[in-house]
Amino acid sequence: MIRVLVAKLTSCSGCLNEVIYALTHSDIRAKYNVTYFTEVLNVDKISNAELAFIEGSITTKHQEEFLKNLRSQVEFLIALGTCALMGGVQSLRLEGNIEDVKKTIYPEPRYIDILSEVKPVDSVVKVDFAIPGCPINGDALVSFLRKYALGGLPVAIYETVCSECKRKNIPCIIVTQKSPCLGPITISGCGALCPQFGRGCYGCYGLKFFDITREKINALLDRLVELKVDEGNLKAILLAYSFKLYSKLKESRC
Amino acid sequence: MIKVPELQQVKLYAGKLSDLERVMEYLRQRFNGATFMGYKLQNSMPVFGEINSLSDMPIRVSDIQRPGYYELIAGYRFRLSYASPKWYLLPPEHSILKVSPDYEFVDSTNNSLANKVVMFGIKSCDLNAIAVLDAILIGKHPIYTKKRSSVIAIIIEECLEPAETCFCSITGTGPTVLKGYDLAYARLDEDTVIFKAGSTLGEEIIKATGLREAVQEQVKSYYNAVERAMSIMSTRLPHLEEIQKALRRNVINEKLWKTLSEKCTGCGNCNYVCPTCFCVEIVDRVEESYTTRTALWTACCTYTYGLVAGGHFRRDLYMRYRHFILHKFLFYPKQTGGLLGCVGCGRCTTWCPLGLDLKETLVKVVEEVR
Repeated sequence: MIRVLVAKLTSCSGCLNEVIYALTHSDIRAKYNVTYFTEVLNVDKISNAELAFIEGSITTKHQEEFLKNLRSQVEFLIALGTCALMGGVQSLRLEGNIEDVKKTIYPEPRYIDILSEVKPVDSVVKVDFAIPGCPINGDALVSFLRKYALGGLPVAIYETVCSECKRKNIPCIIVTQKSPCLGPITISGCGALCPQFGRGCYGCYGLKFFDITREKINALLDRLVELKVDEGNLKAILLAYSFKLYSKLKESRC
Repeated sequence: MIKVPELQQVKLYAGKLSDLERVMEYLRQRFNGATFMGYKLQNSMPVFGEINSLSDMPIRVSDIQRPGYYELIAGYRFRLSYASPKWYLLPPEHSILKVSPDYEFVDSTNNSLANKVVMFGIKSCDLNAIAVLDAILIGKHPIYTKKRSSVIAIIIEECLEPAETCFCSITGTGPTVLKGYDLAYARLDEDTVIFKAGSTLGEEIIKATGLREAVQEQVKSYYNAVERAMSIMSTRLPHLEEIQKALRRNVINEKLWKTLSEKCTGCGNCNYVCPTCFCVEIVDRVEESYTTRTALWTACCTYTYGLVAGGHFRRDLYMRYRHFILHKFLFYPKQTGGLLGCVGCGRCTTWCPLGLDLKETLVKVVEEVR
């Protein structure tokens, strides 16, 4: 049995739910022994294991230490989801001053001990494998677990959301509906979940880390503006875009 | 390029839209149980799929196509859907191998095959695209070969008015058909349909449906329309030989290709919608009961293409964009025994979300030489 730890930082647990779903497969349960998983086990101590899954981004000093400790206990660390890889939705607060952000929510902001920044997991420890998405694609996780148990790893395929639309016979919603969609610059893996319901991709899998430069992003944004896409919609979609590469977007027109 | 005098040897017949319906009906009885495939409206968007009647087909719409733009309006000049017969012949995702946990191999090329297929209403460019795929895949790709052999009849609809993105007269693939079809029809106006036979089956259909020979005036306006369509398209691009010569000269012009691909994001839409693109990537899907080796369409404009263990053949995007163009215009003929990889359908241009125009790229390459 392969010993596994499942841990989380600042996040919504949506990706962890996919881990739970994955463990409902009997062939996977037969090969993995989960020894730490606060959502399902009454164990609060981390012990040595072969694998660890980590969800969420680092927003407190304590989390950073927790993560370093986790890394030192395992051989293979897998980052799960947009938060762990790019900061996630909580990175939206980077736009404002941290003290102001605290004040908007908490009556006693001085008790809130958080970092002014939001750090993806790989900015603190080495990550061996990543499964992107918000939440991650459950099939990708199941596939990883099965292949890992056989002694292999999934082969990463670097494509865009467009490839998934076309293979699913979904006509391009930019071309036919002038919808603001970030599919052409976003990495594949989601199965074109949003476009198949007529909604533009907002890039939860993250910007392609190859081919895409500031000029390319601007070219897409210019095209969307040319098509008279609602600017409010476009801004909203960009604000929610992947965060590790946020600086790249910030330099562009948005 | 197709010359009009060549065409005039074919006898033309005239009928109404209702006659087209009768043609379909005849074929249905003739090939009992056959599946009809063609462009069809699904959620008011044209796709490629199974047709049950004429009303499934986009017969009451016209498409407006521009770079990165597609719209349907009321009319009778439907050109193309983004999907081509490739969606049936070489499906986006097909399993090529199944292995059970005790290493027993299962032939998985047998499933999901329609026994008999009639391609109904496909365009001349797509017919030529099938010929290109045939040259490359028949006998080599078991699924394509099986699916292709299931096609028992091909009925062509000829375009009498090109879309803004079309250039089939340049690539010599339209708008009319000369061979490789059973029956072809063209819509002279909203209700008048001109028919011609391309095989004994075609002649049989015409005889059985009692179509009358077209009158002089109809024949004249048909040829006029064909000629007009060809002359509209001929102004859009230089001659093919000139394009190919310019491409050959500019293969290593890095600066040019970088400029041409400036707006390209490598999304691969052009490849997926291209009726002649046939590249696949292989993915192993491990399941509880068996493992499936699946082929998925891939695109030479995406990063995966050229990525191998230990390196990458085309790391930069401009190299992949260049490969896409060079393959279509220079390399396909070497693979197919002379057939061009581009059939002038313009899908890559219409369905590029960034609105990159293939014609513009080719014109710029030619200008570079001039």
